[in-house]
Amino acid sequence: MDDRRLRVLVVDDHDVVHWGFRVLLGEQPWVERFFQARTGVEALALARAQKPHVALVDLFLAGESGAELSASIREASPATRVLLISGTGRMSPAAARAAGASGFVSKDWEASRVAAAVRRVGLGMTSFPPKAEQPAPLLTEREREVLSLIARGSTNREIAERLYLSPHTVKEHTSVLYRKLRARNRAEAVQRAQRIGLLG
Amino acid sequence: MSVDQPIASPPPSLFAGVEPLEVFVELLAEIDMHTAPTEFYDRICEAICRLTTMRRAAVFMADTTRRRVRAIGSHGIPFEQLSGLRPTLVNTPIAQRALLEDQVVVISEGIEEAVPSAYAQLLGVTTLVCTPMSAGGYAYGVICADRGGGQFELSDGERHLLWTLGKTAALVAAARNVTRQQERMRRLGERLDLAREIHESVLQRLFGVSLALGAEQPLDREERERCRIEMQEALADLRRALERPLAPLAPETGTTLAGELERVRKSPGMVVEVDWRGDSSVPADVEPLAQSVLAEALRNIAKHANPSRVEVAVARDEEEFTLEVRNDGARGGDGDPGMGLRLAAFEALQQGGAVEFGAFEGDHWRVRLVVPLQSDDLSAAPDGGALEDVE
Repeated sequence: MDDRRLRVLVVDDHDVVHWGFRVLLGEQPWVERFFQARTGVEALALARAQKPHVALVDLFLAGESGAELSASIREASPATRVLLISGTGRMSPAAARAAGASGFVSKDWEASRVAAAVRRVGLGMTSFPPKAEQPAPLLTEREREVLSLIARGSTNREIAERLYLSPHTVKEHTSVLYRKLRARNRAEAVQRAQRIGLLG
Repeated sequence: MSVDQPIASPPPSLFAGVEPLEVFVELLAEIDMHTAPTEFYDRICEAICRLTTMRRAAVFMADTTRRRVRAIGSHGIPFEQLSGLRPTLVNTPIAQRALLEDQVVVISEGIEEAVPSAYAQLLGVTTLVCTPMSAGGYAYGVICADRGGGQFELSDGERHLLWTLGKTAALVAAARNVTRQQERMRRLGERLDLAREIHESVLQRLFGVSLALGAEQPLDREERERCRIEMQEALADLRRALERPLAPLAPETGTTLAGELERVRKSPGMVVEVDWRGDSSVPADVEPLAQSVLAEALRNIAKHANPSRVEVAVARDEEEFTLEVRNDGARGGDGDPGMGLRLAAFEALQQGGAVEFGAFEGDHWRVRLVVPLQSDDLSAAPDGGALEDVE
């Protein structure tokens, strides 16, 4: 692997997590400097001033959204790549990418695996959990096809012709889509799908 | 109004307005929070049949989650026969009309066009009455009813009564929905609180320690000490999370167990004999729980038993307080003690006690509360510390 030394920023509101990263990363030859922030404001100030190669951002900061902070860090320091981290739940690569992140790690991972993910993202690669650890996809392949055609403005009849389905089947797919996306109509379904990274 | 003006008889509909409420309350009062929706709506159908000339009734409601309409309760028709039906407003014009016009619709001809053919064929309906279950701009569903075959016409009075019953059923359905929603929110809130507590404390400590232990270099003395402290704290956090109350504590009632027992002993109806054994004063911290268990035990007896007498024994020794309620008229049933006693058992657990309940000697049923009494000698060490520090 590339032997560049990296500046790492850890954004987490738990002191014990900062300490753990300090002990773990402090000894790594590939870590040039280690910065820590407890809030979004601190993180953005450090991102602007230090231009870290990688920012490890907790998804659930106290009172702040890690996903939104991820986008803000990318704005403040476009060269900084973000690795989201969380103690609960799983995040799909699509959802992480939609937030501007290059990877996702879970707090139940082994330390060496977390360190490797930090390094990969810092070097410009991505790091996502293997498929088996990712959340089950919200939509089936067929539902995704129908959704992307809806997003292009196709009517149910046009979608039916395009996918060789009956209009009734398309209608059933759209009903399921609305329910899964908690949307009331086509526009809302497209909007929500874009927000969670289901549509490019 | 002048005093010599004759008093007009109230219109019949006003009389009809009171009796339905009585019957609804009578049928629904015994239903617990955990009662299946089918049984709840079965009772509504039963009320309809008791109050009108209808012999069979079924409630169809929209399931908003699954976006479909289905039967949710019935009386006089085996529910299994209806559970497979998936009517829609399009293939059930009678329901569409009843809801749109907010009136009771009666159809004797062309039933096959008014309801899904499966429904008409299944029940052999010749005249069908469809009552909207709607009020205040909200439509909950419809009640389909008939006299079990044969053609008939509805009088204006009965039509109005059915319309009123539809409104009452809508009110009951709305109240049930709100109550269930509140209960769901409460449970979800508790679960979220617990998850948040574990996430914010235990999980972060364990993650931090696992990162430190994952370092290749051996940890120095200070780092090892930090690991030890964090692990200790994580265990304490976990213990606190596990000790969260599982049920709301029994509320203060403003009365005493003795007062309550005296009241029920003198009340008409149930014959209650009370046996206070020895020094049976009730510890103040056990009072709310003891009253709660007594109330639940008596409520269960009123609901499920037909006893010649109820025996209540209260006892206390140096170690524990005991309250036992026995009756000799258990009617069998499914043996389900109901939500009340289960919650009482959780309340008892929080005080280190237990609530036992069950049948014995055939038709006898017993509820027994045992709570350990806190001894001053055990609750505090002589020097104020429960454990001696090792270091």
